[in-house]
Amino acid sequence: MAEAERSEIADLIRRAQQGDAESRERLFAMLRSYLGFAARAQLESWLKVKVDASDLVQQTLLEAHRDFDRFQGGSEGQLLAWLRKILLHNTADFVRHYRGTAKRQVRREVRFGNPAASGPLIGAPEPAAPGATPSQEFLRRDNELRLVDALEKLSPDYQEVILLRNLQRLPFSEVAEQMGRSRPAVQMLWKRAIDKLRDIMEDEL
Amino acid sequence: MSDALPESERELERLDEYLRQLQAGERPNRDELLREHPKLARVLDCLDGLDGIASDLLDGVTRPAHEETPKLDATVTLSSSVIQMPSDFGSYELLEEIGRGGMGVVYRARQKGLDRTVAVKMILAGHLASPEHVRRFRAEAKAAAGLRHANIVEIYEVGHLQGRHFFAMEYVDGISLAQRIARGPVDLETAVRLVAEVARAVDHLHRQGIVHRDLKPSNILLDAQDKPYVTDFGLAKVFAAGAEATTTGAILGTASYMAPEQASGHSGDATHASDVYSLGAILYELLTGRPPFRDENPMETLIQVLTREPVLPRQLNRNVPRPLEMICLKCLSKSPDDRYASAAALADDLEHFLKGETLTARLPNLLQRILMWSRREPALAARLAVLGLFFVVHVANHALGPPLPPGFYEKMLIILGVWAATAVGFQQLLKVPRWSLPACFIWGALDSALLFTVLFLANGVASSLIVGYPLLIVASGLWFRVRFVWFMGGLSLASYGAHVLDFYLRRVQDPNDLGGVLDLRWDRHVIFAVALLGISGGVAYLVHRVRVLSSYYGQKP
Repeated sequence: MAEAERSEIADLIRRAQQGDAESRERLFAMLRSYLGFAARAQLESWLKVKVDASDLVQQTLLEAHRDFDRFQGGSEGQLLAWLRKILLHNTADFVRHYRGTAKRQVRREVRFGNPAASGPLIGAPEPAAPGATPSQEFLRRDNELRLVDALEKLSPDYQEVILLRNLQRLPFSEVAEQMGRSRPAVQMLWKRAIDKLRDIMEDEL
Repeated sequence: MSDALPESERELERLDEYLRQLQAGERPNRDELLREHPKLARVLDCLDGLDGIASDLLDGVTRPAHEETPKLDATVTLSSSVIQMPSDFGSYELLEEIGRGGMGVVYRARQKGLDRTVAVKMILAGHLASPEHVRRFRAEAKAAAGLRHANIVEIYEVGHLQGRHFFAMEYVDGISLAQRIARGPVDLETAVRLVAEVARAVDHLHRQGIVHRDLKPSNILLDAQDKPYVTDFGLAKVFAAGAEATTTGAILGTASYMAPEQASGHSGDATHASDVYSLGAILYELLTGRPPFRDENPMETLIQVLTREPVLPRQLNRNVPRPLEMICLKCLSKSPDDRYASAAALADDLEHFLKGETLTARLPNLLQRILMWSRREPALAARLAVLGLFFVVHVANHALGPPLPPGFYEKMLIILGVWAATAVGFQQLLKVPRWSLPACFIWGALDSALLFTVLFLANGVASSLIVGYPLLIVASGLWFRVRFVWFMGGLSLASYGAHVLDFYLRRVQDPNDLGGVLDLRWDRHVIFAVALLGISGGVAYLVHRVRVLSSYYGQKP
């Protein structure tokens, strides 16, 4: 099934590139979900604050729409990598702006001794994924959009706990703090969320 | 079933460990885990997949070293941080935050090109959830932007910048009417002039097809010369629809100034008359120092708005002239048709009052006044109505029926008189905050005692008046106190027991007593007692449910 799914998305990409408006729309609907989680996960782990990233997502989608003709790849993995590059660029702007305002707002001396203080955000846009094993590599490459699609169908609580624990890789103690619940409660919530996610994935097979 | 929980806990532990290793970049032993928990295969797929996404997002870029990140309070949210001080905001330079409300933050700002001070209101993210809301917000704001009136805060620009919807408006250097009221009493003439001016401004809005919907003291600004400016008009509708999660809270929060037809949840029904009501509520607060209805519990406030009449302003402030009270109460009529036909008509009458001219407002007719009074004093009105009915029946019975025992007719009249008099007395006592709770219990006990006396003088358990006890229990439910219901239930049961004893010990022996001809079986008494208990339980449970609901909706948003 994973095979079929993969080719389905590859098909969608191909048709969209050939100018089929409907395929393009469907593809971008999926990308929007992906970006929603991606933008929040990135921003929140960098900034250590809760973020409303809708504007960032909007901006990135617009640019992706505009530049879609320039996307040459054909696989889901390539498409997402391309999308992340655009996101990253916008995120960097956003973070710089945010840091600037935060600095002014807090009126605190913050040393940006290193001119590349925000450099790392712009550099290295290609995923490196040092811990990925070959099997993960395989799973990930054909599953990200479907997984995010399933994630989107969860209740907000479930989404939140997975976003914090899995996508931002926060330990449960921090997840509990951010969600304002006890640690055991958050763990149970997470377990139920993961179970539900699995159910949705299985239903779609 | 008993090992279901430990099983899922063990799974949780395994998954947690698996994920920890995955995230640490170690290679978790998937096969070993699957040997122990074969069902988890799909779950592990999900974890792998999610971590794949995470590594794309997080590992592709090095995290900035810690010291390079300005330390921020963990509670700060980005959306409001960006809003907090973007200082440079398009053609505006934000100077300071001057207000923060449910839907946005207001700044004092300088408009660079024109070099004038303006107020910039930025809408918090999340309040315009969908493109449809954005469209409606812009439509409403644009409609408002075209308005010019001396007493309306002018909107200069509506826009979208740096990801925020905002509007720039006239800056009023002063305080809100709510702050003014909090500072101390406003003299009568100023109060009337203020409301008249605001009413003229609201009438101007109405002529342009805009219903304010959220008129309240905090939405009226006063400049240094005490000149009022109406603000925040027309937008309440958009935001009520936009932030569904907070709608209940938002409605309940301002219920004190909301017309009944609006407070009942049909905010779409808000009309010009609803704004007239709110103007009346503001006038009421200016005259008396408190809004017409305000309870600590927002749901109780709502119920009062819907079903009760406000305390007469003159009872709260003796200096309020009668004509002014009349104007105020006309605005606060429950039925929109009984209010002023327009905000302008209200302004006219207020101006007539200031000049000492005749008002267009008329005292309501007798029937209306009785209705209003009964909504204002429901406990007293209900008692007097029942006593009155009883009085009529008693007199008719004396005149037309068979002869009563000697002295019975007079005694009854005396008791009815005493009952009515105590009812009036207790109603006054209830208004003293310190006494309201004990008064309610004492009043109930007195009702029960008087009913007992009446029955004792009449035929005791044989009298049909015995239905007075269930009536008392049901009525006690209207105080919405579970304890009070059980208190009345207990009293009724005890009184009934006393009547039964009286019946068997005294009346049965007395051949002249009417009770003597009744059947002596005891089962009917048990049935009646059980019914009393059942009614108490039912009413108490109903009250309990209402209270649970009420505390749920009463939570502060």
